[in-house]
Amino acid sequence: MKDFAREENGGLIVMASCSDERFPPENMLDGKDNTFWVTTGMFPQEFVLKLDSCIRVSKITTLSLNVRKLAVEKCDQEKPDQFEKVFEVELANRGDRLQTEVHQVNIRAKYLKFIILQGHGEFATVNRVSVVGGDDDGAYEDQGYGSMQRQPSMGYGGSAATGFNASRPESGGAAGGGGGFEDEF
Amino acid sequence: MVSKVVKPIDITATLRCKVAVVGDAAIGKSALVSMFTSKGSKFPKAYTMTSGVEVVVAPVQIPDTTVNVELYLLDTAGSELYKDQISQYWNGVYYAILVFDVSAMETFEACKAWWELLKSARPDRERPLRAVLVANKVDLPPQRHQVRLDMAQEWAANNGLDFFDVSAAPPGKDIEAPFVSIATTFYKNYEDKVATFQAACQNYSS
Repeated sequence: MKDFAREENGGLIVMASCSDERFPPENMLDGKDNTFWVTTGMFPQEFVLKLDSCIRVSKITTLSLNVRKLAVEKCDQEKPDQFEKVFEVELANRGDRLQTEVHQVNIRAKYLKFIILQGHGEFATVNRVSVVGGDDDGAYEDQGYGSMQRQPSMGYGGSAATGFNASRPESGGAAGGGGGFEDEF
Repeated sequence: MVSKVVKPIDITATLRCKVAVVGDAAIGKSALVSMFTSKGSKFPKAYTMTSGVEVVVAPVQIPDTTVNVELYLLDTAGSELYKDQISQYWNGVYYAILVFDVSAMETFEACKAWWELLKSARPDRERPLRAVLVANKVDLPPQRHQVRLDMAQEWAANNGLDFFDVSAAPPGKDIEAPFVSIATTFYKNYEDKVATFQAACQNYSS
């Protein structure tokens, strides 16, 4: 299925909050899992992905290392000045194995903003971003990640708002610092 | 601000690191920070007590590289008034500059307490605390020195800290050294981590 984040399909990183020339943000759109963009100290860090046109998005996938909290926001306007939250998740630390995060969504977007709110440790990478969908009004086929069903069983389903609420029971609690990581800026 | 003429180089990466600057009240933390960030042109003549935490961003170019480290210096109030809440302002800090006044023994003893406070304030205890110890006011005449530098150096070495003796009073002595040291430590951590990431990703070719 067409990955709209890929550079050859018109995907473009228009903003990244940090950069090391050796690991440019374009590494996330090259289709390779072994090249990455790396955060260079402190959190949050974010980047904005621009799609070729405003499309219906049905699935967002990220491959990463050391990401602890990830939020995704969308904008369906021509100018990316207002974003709405799509989902926020906490990712388990998988050590030196890639974290694969697959989210079924039902949104329209021209821009997607990915925010790494916290890391497992000082630095984190994003190796790949993939955006699947199209303007065929949601009649997408399911393929690629075999275990993900069309009716997702993991709590972040068709409604973006539901997925968001369900995935952040810790908001507020973290302020008390009781064992939670109230880390970084 | 006076800008020195420096050979232009292409910076290829900018790293960011949060650093707590701590020590007892009136030992010259803010003066040290000010002299460093102004490249020696601004020494606060009148003492003003820092309340809570003041954040100052100080860029440091790592010698022999094209990497810039922006130190987010959390200039922390030394006064007892703030001691109870102060660790909340740090909000997760793993790098620190501990400062004492060579003419006051109790300020050196206090650095040991600051060291413990910083260690216990880490949200992730698995992550090491990296710090440097700084003896300030070494321009004072020797008869006013209460803290023997070799003693301070020994404590620093025993706890894994680099040690520097400086003078923040104009014209200043070795002011840059502790900042460059902590920035270099951070840079090395980054390079180590990046190498680990690269090794981890090698097997994923698609």
